[in-house]
Amino acid sequence: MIARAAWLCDGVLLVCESESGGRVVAQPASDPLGAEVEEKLTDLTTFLREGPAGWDAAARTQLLDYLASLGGELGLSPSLSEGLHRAREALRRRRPLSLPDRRSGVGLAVERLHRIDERSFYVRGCAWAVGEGVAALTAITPEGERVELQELVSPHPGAAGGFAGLFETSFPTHGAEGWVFEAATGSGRAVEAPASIAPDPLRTIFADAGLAFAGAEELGERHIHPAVHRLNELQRSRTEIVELAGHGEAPESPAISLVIALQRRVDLIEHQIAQFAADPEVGGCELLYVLGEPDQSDALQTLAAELFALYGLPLRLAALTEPAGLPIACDLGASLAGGQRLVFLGSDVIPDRPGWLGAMAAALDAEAAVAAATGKLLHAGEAVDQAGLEYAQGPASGDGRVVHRLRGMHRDAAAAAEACPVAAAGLACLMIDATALAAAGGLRGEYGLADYEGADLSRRLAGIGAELRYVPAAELYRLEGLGAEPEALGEPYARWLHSRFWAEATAGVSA
Amino acid sequence: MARRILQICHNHPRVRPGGAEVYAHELHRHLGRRAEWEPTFLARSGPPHAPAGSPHEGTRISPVEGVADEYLLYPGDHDFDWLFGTMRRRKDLYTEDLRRFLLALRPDVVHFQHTLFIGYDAIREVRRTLPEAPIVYTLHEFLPICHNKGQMVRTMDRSLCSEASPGRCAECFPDIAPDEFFLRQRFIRAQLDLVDLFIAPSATLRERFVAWGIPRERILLEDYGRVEAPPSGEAGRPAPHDTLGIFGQVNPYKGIDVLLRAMRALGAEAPLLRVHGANLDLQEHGFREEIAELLEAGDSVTSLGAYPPERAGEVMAAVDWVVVPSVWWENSPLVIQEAFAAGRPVICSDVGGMAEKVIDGVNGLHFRVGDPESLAATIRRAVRTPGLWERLREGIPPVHSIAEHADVLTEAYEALIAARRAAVAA
Repeated sequence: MIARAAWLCDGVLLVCESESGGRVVAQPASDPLGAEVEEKLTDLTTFLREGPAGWDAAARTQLLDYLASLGGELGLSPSLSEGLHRAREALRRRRPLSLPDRRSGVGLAVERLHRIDERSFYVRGCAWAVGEGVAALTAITPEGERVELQELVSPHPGAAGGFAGLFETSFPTHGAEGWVFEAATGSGRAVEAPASIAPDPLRTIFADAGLAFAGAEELGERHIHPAVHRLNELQRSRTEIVELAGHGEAPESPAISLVIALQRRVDLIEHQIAQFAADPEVGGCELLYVLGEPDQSDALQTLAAELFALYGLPLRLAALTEPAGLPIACDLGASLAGGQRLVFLGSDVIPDRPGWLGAMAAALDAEAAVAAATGKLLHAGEAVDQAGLEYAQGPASGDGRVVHRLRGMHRDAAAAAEACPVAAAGLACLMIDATALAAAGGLRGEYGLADYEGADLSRRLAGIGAELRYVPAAELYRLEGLGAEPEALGEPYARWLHSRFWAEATAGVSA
Repeated sequence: MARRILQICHNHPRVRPGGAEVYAHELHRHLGRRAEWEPTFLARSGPPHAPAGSPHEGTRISPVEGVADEYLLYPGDHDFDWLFGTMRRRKDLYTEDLRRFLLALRPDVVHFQHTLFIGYDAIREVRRTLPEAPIVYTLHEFLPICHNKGQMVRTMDRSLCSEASPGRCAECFPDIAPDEFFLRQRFIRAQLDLVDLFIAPSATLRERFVAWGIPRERILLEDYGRVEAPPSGEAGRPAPHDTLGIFGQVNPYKGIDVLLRAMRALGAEAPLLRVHGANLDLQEHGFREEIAELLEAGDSVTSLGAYPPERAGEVMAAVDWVVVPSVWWENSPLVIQEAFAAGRPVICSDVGGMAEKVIDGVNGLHFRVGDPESLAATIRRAVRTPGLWERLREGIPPVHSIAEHADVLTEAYEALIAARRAAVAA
């Protein structure tokens, strides 16, 4: 027997089997519906108001739990999400809205809520209860699923009662708006606070990673690292590289491929080519530019074609299908490169004079164990930007922090003129044997920062017995003031992650 | 068989009669009268000097109306990047329009008189399309070195600058990062490195570019040559020699404000001043207002406006002294040559190309650059000292003629053509 029926969304019918309490089932719509359903069909608002809205709280909660599961069972379409949200709003138990005044008894504030993937979210906020503790903290999705957070989240030092953490829903959820969080005490006092999904999760997560407090390690290990890892995996899975154009005849089986990731300043391609055009060694290489921001691909293709016409320097142009960080652009670019050796070069790096490629190649030729080399990177004022990388120790600089070796010294300083093994090299200028790169597993793409990504690669190279050399004869300028790379976020996280992987290994190679 | 020479200039003197373009055009005309050369003159046209838009759809190059060997280049919708001296994000002006023109003309020599509003990339295009053609580039000011209109004058106080560096340039332009200036220098050098020979009309200019990194042996010190001035009537003038004249462009670097302030300081002693200034209308509003106010305040000042180059001798014959009060270094001011051609001693600032071309106490007088009091004292001395004008007139050297100049250039062109062909063949 059917009491009433209504469309929850396109294709999903709610059927109530009893006037009082009873059961509501959702079913994919059949065609035709049948005479009984046709007879009892009403709109969703009437269906809910005249039926489940009058049930007791436990029955309504049970129904909402059931409805929330439909997204997983039937596949969560936008219209189903909307229907579930309407049902939730009609049936859920409303709590008083939390007030910001901390003297008000029970309070709750959600400062940030970010989507990590379809079912993972990162939240930061605070909850308090005067006179007793907060006993329950609950997130309610726009579709009505309830997730108990109290045992999931970790303390956050941003405010008294602060919390932050990664949580998962059982079922997919679409909506950016319509989230509700509840805080309740053991004595039954409860409040709620609305929330919506904010953009740019990494900015929040990396800021949390930089906090120094007693619970930092737990927050990092349980929440921050898994969240960043998932974001990176998602990014990586979405991002592909496509070749846009080739201009001129690149050498067959090139000895060296230059892989240059273009981020914000695509115009820098012109300045590099103006320098490369006078360098016969570059003319013998494969030159591959990888555009990290696909929305600029049309403009870049036109410019690249005209630059080839003007300079005559053969080049290949590829683009990522999604905006991604420099390490991912480099890694995917490497997959297209045909050289036996690759040179990762920043788009804000220009050689001081010809000969830099030969000097680095000679370092690899000289000893079989040497699989990678980096050059002397300079600031415009003739100070050294980096002569390789090293690990700092001590409270001032932060344990395990990757720093630029010899930064600030004059380019002619004796130490900068000495060829030597170095602990690590960044991606601003790194020549690496393609086989060694593959053996080391390529670039991890998890750090966001090119220096840490390079340092991680350096550690893995060391792990397979490959050495890295600093070559002072290879002098290049790195013009970081051009704003070629997006704002560098996440150094504390990158440092934490690098230590997580390599704490023991770096202890032996620190400055 | 005559050799073909193409001169490329940032402007045509028909559009705006600036010094560099007047000289370049005179050289073009002179070469056309010599049997060994078949010259072509390509001048950029369009804003800010002329209306935008090529007269013919589908080409950015058109002949000057009624002239067979002169062309105008219309960059039109291209966006000139002042900092780097290039067309922003588009290169088809070079790789299509200029390339077609070069292939049609096939000059034996390409002489850049200027690349402003055209772009340094034009040099690259010439080298790429015509590898056998030597490239000559005349340095008219410090534009490759200095973003402040090539004047090497500091923006914050108009003091003279003696050295460009990324840090110093960023002090003049705080909105531009030092790294951008470094990149600018590298980019421009990358294009200028393709030039076979630079012409520096003054030692002042040559030394600055040598210090900037251009090898000394690639710079020929060779002053501008000038067309013989037409007879200027009575070259001498009876005493008292108390009429001054200022000639040429009026802009903040030419120091007309210094001269007008000196005139104000002289008060009732002020001699007559004839102002023949051009292009004040192109200057910023504040400067125009300042000059207008100073001109109005001077009772003995007569503003006479611009003059055509061919009337230089005539207008200079009407004064006793030619004042060149520039507050930038200057290169080799044409007005000094014109003054000397007219037999007029020069009162000039004591720096750069002015001090180099005018010898203090021999054919002119120096005053402290930018200092109205010093200029006022020098003017007072000039007009009050009996016999000084006559003595300085006697020290005036002969003016380097365009024919002598063309001889020097012809010798250089021929040597470059031979060397270039040998290099390409090798």
